[in-house]
Amino acid sequence: MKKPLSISRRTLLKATGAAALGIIPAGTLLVRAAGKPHPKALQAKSWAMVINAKLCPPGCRICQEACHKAHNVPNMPDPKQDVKWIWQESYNAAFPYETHPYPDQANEKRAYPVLCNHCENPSCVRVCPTQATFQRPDGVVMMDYHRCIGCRFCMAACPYGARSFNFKDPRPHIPQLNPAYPTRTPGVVEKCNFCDERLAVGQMPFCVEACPAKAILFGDLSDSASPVRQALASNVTLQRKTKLGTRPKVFYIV
Amino acid sequence: MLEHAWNETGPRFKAWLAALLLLIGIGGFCYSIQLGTGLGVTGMSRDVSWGLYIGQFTFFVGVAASAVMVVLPYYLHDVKVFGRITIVGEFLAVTAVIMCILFILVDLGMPSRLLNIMLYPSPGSVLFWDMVVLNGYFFLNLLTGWKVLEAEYTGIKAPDWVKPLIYIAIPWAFSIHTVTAFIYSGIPGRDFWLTALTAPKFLASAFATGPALLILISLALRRFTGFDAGQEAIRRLSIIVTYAMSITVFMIMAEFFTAFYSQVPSHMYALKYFFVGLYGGNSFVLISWVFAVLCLLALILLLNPKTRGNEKWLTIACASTFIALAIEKGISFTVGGFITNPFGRVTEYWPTAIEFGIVVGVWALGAFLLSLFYSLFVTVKRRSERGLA
Amino acid sequence: MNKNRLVALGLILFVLLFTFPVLMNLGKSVAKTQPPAMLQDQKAMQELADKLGVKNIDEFRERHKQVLAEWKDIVVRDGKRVYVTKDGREIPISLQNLASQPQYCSDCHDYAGIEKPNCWTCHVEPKGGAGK
Repeated sequence: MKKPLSISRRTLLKATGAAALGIIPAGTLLVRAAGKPHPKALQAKSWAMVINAKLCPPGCRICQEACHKAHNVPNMPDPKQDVKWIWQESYNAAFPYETHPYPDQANEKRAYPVLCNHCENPSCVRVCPTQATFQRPDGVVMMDYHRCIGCRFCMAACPYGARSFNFKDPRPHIPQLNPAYPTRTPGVVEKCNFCDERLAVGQMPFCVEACPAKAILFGDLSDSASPVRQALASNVTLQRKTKLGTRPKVFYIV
Repeated sequence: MLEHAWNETGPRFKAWLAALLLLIGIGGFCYSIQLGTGLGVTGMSRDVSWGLYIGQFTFFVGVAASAVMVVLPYYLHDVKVFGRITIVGEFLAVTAVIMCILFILVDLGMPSRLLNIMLYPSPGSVLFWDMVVLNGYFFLNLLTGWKVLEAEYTGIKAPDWVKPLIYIAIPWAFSIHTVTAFIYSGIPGRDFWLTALTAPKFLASAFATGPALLILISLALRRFTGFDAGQEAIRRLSIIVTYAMSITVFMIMAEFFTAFYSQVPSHMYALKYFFVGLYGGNSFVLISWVFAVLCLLALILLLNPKTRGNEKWLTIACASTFIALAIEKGISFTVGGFITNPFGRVTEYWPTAIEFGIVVGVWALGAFLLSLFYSLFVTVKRRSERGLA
Repeated sequence: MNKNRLVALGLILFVLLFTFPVLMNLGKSVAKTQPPAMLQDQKAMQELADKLGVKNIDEFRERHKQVLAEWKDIVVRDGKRVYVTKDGREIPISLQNLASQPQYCSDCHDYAGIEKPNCWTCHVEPKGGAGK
């Protein structure tokens, strides 16, 4: 019987297998259409934030309320499985192992807003196995909720406890759904994105705008005329856990 | 070859498999609950975001790596007595890797997106490399174990490409557990994990756990199937366990010294949490002391040649080693990294019933596969030693 | 004799398992035989195609899944909010905008009997018209 192919069956099988394996990095090779930035989009080389907690009115949670409302951040019943993007911590908790047990009277009662620091050298980005969390050229550490597999390596890698995991369906626990922004599904990690959706259309992050005391400044760290650089030049400021080398971009005026 | 494995087993074996299938079913049911509701059904939290699943994954990577402790002496140093049990080790490695992959799968928040790790390769991520080395190790051991067993079955020498693969599997075994250790020891902010000692400690404890398990398996195989690994092989394995366990305990003592002599809080906190409790959190104190007592018991029995050479005491020593290190690497190490949280507080973790059900299901699946592998192995050995084809 | 019975049982199980989707949907097709009203409305279909940035409703049918995937990557991974079509048109990227038509995704998807788009597990379904 005449063989229809000039190669052996074994070679054909080997070649097919090799070709099938070639599909593996397919995701990275897709060429897609280009996009354009919105005409009003804000550009920067390194977005950063300076927070002057001295200006926070006692008990004020407006930055958290504005952010969580706009971004459909749920209010989970179990505090152990809390989801939060920006919230308040005490002086000793915001700077653990870096403060002594005798803070001044003002700092004893002061609340410090804490959030993702959008580090220049982010350990969370390094460890993500799918690049679902990645660093943008403008310094924002982004989350791609479509790609996240929920392995939570980023949560272990973040030294600041900035990340939350959706242990359960968040939708039933969102007090007031904002249709202009998506929610997340159970099984993905989420965190502050420096309001990338606002920066993209020329607006400041929600927490910055909502703060009644103008305690949160936002700007380009590489631009010496920006509000953040001016604040850094004229105030004593701290970062959280500086010695870890993550180079966080949220600074606190103390 | 496969049909002999089933046809020549007795009703006791089939009852054992049926019992395991029941446990697998329970695990599957628990997993379906977890898939429906989310990982909220486990005891994990925002602060302790990895728990029993990742701990068990870590532990079984160690078991998988430990096959090298029989393969290396046999293939590199001609220790002929291990010849009968290299396949036992290789099949254990294959089963352990399958369990590891299952533990990761049940831990994922979005398991349907698992292939993203391959579609978007991230060479900067240790988890990416873990996927690569685990899969590689799986295929290496499956292929070589199968081919060597087949060679015995047919009486024909194994093909030439098997030997180089076995030689590759030897450093590869070291690499799988090193990469797993690097998952922990390369991230800032978790001082309990951030030590160069993590990788060597993982390897040392793996090389105590695996051979201890191999000894227990060999004794069980002899009891239930008549397959005898040989006195000498067990004696040599017990020496490996002794050295590895001694090194492991030494490393643990070294950690205590660094933490408590330096008095640096972030180094002491996890150890304090385990052994005396911290900030009111003390749910790990009991099992930590169980771990300590078992380690001591194992060392005493292993270091004394009289008890090490006595099968009853050796069994107790190996069981103690296995259980102690299953506690340490199987849950304590993972949880320890999250004590304290980034704000200096302690959030406690304990697995829930559903979490435990899923873990038992994976264990049962491993035992099921292992039983089938060993049934095949024993049958082939029996036939080849009787001179049948 | 035993073996034949086992084989027969196995075959029956296999057939049942293999045809499970068909069996599951046997009673269901009746309710969804109404085609969506939009299919009669040329203007609405062209509007939908324009919103996506494709030429016409046929190209929409063919490529909407790819275009939406491109939108997703342009917004999330490139940080840009404007889609540039092959013929240079600039389309603002917005799921809320796209699905705000009186007939939206599930009408056509249900009629065609294909998988529901899972966008709405996260993105918020716009309220409107025949939608939910």
